[in-house]
Amino acid sequence: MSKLNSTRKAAAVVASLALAFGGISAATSSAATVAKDWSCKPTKAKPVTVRMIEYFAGPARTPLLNSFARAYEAKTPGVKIDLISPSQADSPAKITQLIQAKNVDIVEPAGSIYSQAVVAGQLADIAKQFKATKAYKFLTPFTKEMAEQTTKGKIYGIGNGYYTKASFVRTDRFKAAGVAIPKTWEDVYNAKSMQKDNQFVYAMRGARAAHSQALFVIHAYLAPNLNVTGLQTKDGKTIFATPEAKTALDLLLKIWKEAAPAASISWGYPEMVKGFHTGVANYLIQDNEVIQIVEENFEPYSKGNWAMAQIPKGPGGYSAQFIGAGGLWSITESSKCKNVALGFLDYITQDPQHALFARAYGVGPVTTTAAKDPFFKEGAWAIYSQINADPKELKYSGVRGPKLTACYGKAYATLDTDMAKLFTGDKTTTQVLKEWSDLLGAADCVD
Amino acid sequence: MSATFQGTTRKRPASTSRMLKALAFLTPAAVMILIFVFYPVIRTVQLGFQNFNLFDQTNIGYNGLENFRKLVEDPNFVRVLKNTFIWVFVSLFFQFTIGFGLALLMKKKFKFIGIYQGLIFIPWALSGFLMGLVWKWIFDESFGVLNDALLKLGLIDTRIPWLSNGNWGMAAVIIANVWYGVTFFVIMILAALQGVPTEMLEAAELDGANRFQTLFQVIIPYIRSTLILIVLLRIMWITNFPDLIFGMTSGGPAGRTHIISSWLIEKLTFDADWGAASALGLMTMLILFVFTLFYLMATRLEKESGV
Repeated sequence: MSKLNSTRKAAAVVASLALAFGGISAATSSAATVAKDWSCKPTKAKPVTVRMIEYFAGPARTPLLNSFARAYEAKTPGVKIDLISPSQADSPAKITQLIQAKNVDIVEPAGSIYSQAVVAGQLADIAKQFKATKAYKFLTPFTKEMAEQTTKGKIYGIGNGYYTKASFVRTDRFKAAGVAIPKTWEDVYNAKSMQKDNQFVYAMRGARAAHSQALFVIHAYLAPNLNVTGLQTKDGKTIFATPEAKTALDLLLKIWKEAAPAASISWGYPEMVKGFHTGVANYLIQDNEVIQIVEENFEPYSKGNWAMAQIPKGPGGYSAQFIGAGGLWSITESSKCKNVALGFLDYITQDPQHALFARAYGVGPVTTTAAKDPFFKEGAWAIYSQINADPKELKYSGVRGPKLTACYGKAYATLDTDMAKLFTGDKTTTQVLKEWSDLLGAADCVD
Repeated sequence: MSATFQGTTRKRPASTSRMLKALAFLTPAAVMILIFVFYPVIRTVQLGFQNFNLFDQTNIGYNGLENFRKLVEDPNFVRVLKNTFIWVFVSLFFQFTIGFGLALLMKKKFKFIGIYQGLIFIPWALSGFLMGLVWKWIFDESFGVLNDALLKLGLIDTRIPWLSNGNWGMAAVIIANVWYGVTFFVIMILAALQGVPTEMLEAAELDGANRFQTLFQVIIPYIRSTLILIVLLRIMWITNFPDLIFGMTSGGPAGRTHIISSWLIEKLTFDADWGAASALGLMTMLILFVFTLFYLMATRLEKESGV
């Protein structure tokens, strides 16, 4: 169930920027080896096994991926798909190990793994071959644009679904308290008047990826003065050195201390989602797949006791969030039969397979046919059309150069720990912002 | 002379054959140990002196004692050592005393003893990380069953911030660890108790020793060497047991429940700093080695002095 937040996923997807800006070559094999890697001809007598590891294994998607694998094996004699599904806690280590051991063909390199692997040349550039597949033809223009925009002609991953942040709101509680649904971060804070025993306003995230919360508020206060990295203003300077960042972080701390459960200092993804559907917190910012979780664990959307809203805005009326493929499949540079691996990815990225996957797992579709499915436009999902149409909710691609990617990766855990230290009073917002500016605004972080 | 010569020539092939046989049987195990024990240790030593961060793989190379310097200068270092000490010795005290008590109870025959033994042994069969996740939900301040139960029983008025406060957090992880580790002592001490000769206990009874005298003057001295060994083993295992902490708090809040091994995992998994993690691993190894030497020396001196 648990999943890294979009900031971390962003760091991963965005590592493509390493390509865009750094021109880092992932191709280490000789031309002859490359040609051989792309020309395997599996037969019943000489079968080929494709080892594939997923990051976000879970009951909503793993059985489906396995059924796709069996179906593909049936239609492609000589190919065997070996799906590895570690627990999400083990995923980062397991995927990293398999990539390093050159013992896997397809990986789902979420989080920081993508950045690391791209920078280290461990993922294959599949642009030429992927563009020739049937799946590519049916990708949404946005998906194609994202793939090419961030990699300048090279493609290191095939998106398997979009995650977009929206607010989940317990409308029944807000109505009962006579409090309007928050539209700004100030509103979130002011809604504290509705709190009762063990019923708080905001589902804060204080454990892993806690600093994504700071980014939400700082972005809202800085937008539209943000560049595509999400970590810098338009002039390329770190966002953490701005006066807006200080105002925003002070406000977030007030929300955390006065309008969120103290227990949220240890909340990660599952706890904040549970906090919402059990009624401990009435306002949650999360990705689209949470719709399904709330419907299953609280109530169907149609009952009207909860609703979706856009994420809160800042004083200028703006908000901003990273939009990109939250999950993606990549073929490793070490794969001996890249064409076979790509064949399977081609199959699962086509509809109806992808549409089934997106609906079951609750992620935004990457194909045009699935995107036209009314399922993704109605009910709770309708909010995403509203988000897409709102010019004041900025969507940044998160393209970052290799230096900033490396700095962000190294600073990630520090940023999270500092968030907790803010709450415990071990550090002040001024201290934290100074440290973050030093970590991410240093000369060796500028690409 | 001739007989000796003949005897020697007869023995040589047999001895060589035995040696070859022994080698054949030992080689697989030796190879496994080399691959799975010695190679990782050698690699850890190597990495401990390297700048090896997965976020920055273009800048990998030897950096001397830099990893160790950074660790020692890290503001979390002293707290992590202090937490490790508390985690090990508080857990050990309760695990040992409760485990000893339960083992004494289980030595006696009573109805449904099989079911009782089964229940006692369950924690040992479960994954530490999984149990950490279960305890995390139990201790959760807002929707955990423990706070609910304490509130309903009227024992508390406000919810205890079990996992959101550093001190309560340490208490919570230690409670979980005591629950988890008691089983080990029950199993080991029960086995040792079953080895105490009945005649010795009967003799003590005939001499008029009461229960405490029998326990402290007969039973404990008899199983002393087992107790020393299992306590030493347990200290090493608890030091290297981050599973529960990682499942429950991930070392939080703000790093306040980190012990040395959970901090190592954080360095490895989240910071992707294999150099620092390896250096920390080497420091742990050194600390445990020195501790073991002192512990064994102290227990030997104690035995020799007859205390």
